[in-house]
Amino acid sequence: MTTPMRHILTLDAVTKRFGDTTALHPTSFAVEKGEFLAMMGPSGCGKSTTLRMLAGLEFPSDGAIRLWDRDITDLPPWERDMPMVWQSYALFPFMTVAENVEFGLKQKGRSTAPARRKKAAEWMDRLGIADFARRKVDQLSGGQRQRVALARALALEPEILLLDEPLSALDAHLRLHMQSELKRLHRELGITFIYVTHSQSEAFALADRVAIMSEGRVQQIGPAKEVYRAPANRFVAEFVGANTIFAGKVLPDGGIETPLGLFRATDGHAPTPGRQATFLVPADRVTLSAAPLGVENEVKATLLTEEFTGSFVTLLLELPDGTEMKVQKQQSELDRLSLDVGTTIHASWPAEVAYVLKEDQ
Amino acid sequence: MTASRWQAAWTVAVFLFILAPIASIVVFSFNADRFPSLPWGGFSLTWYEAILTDDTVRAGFVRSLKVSAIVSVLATFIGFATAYTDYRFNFTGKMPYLALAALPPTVPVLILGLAMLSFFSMVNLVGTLRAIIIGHVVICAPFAMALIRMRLADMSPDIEPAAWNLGASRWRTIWSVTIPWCLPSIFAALAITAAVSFDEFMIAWFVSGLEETLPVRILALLQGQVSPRINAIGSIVFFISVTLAGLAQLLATRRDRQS
Repeated sequence: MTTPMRHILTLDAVTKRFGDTTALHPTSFAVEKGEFLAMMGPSGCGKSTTLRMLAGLEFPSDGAIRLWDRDITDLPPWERDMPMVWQSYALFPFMTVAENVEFGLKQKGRSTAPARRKKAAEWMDRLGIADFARRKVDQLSGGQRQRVALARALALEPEILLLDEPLSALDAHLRLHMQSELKRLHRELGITFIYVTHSQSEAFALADRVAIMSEGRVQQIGPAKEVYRAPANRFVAEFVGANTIFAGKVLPDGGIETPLGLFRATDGHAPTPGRQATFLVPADRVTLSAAPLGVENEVKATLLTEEFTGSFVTLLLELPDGTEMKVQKQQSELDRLSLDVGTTIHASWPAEVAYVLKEDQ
Repeated sequence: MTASRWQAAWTVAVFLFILAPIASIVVFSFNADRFPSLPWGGFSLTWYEAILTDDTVRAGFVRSLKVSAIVSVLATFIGFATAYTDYRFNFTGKMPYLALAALPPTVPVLILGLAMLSFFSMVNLVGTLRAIIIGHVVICAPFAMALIRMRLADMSPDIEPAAWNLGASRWRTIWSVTIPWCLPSIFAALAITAAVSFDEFMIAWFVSGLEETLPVRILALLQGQVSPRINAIGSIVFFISVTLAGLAQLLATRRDRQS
């Protein structure tokens, strides 16, 4: 732990129980000022509960939340300056766009009516919704509503903006567009963004740091690249990226004996001889060949499916013991292999890309 | 005839059956003859003149208007409070609480009227407008609650938290978000409770004493003599009630598209 003043937001052993079920096990992490943090995980992993506790819509059963050095654990939502952008937009349907954007300013009562109108107009302008100012929100499209929701939250000029799956109700094209817009806003405003999503591509594209959550626990928190290349445990390895996971017994010389043969893995944690070890092979680091190359870390495989996505192709192979292996290749690399479904092929990878996970405690 | 034509004919027949007595009241209220019989004795406003100059009828009418105005406001307020409690909070005993709140219209009015008579006589309220008002609020509030509850059920669960999140306290949220959202149903509740109170006879008959409301006055008139004046009063009461009920229906079924 560094000096407490460095972090804008600190969660200290925050826990949430609903009756007998624990939605969030004791969780501690800190957020830096100006950071874009994404919380990602499958539904029910505790990411939304965490966000709702930050907003004051739920209260922790245990632990503390601090804004700078102020304890805000029990502060009601209206006394926190952490506006939220909702998945459902949650706009006020009986108000115009301008009234929606002004709402927060009016509640805070910090400015006069003309000043409020001016500020709201600035934000509507900035988000490209000034033309709709007089319209009721039910006359807007999904993308326009999302902009109103953003303007309504940002008009308060907060230090922290909370975003709860803000793009998941939009269609794919609009989502990409809003994604770059969010990124731009974050860069220009220097506000801390805390972003909840179940989409890996969103989290990785937007965030400085990603918190991977599952079953009420933060499994790993770190920069996207680190989470991708060096997953902290099996869950993260399976959830993030396209890895194939192998497990086996570690031999005295460091080799790992698996049902598929002997492998060497030198990235990540050093395997302990005599113990079980789990390692993963990233899909984009696998070499394919028609005939065996006779190198270490080679397996025979059968092609199951081939998924073409633009310049990249994702292949799904079946290994002799039934394990499925994902391989990503450029289309140009594949042309020389002439693959058909059912073809037998050989996959190999260098020992230094095989990442050994930390041993289970 | 096709099936749909039979259906249409059947519908018309049902409406005729329901509306014929009311229509005959309205028609004969303009009949010059003393007795409501055919042939038609010529158009006349005599009976309307008669009731408008009858002080007891006028006093009853004014009293009914006063009572229904006050009742509609009180019952709608209580109805909103009950519906909101149900929407916003979870608490032990919520089921019995709601059952109790919806109970009064299911009790036969005769029993309700008798019970109120004996209760009000204990607290010395019999024969006052206040007694009628309290009695009517009891039977009207559940209608208001039902209407407002329906509207609240359509409100996105994120709307109120969104207002809190933007700095509005609970009370300010109710005032600036929840009530505006419920407004159509609040107006509908005002109209329907006013109509129920304006029409209500049994409770008023038991507890009103000398403070007769219009329905009570009508019965007194009927008991004395069969006069075409009854038709005139009936027509007026009918149009007031139908207007209020129609207004309520219009407001309650109007749906804003939700965001």
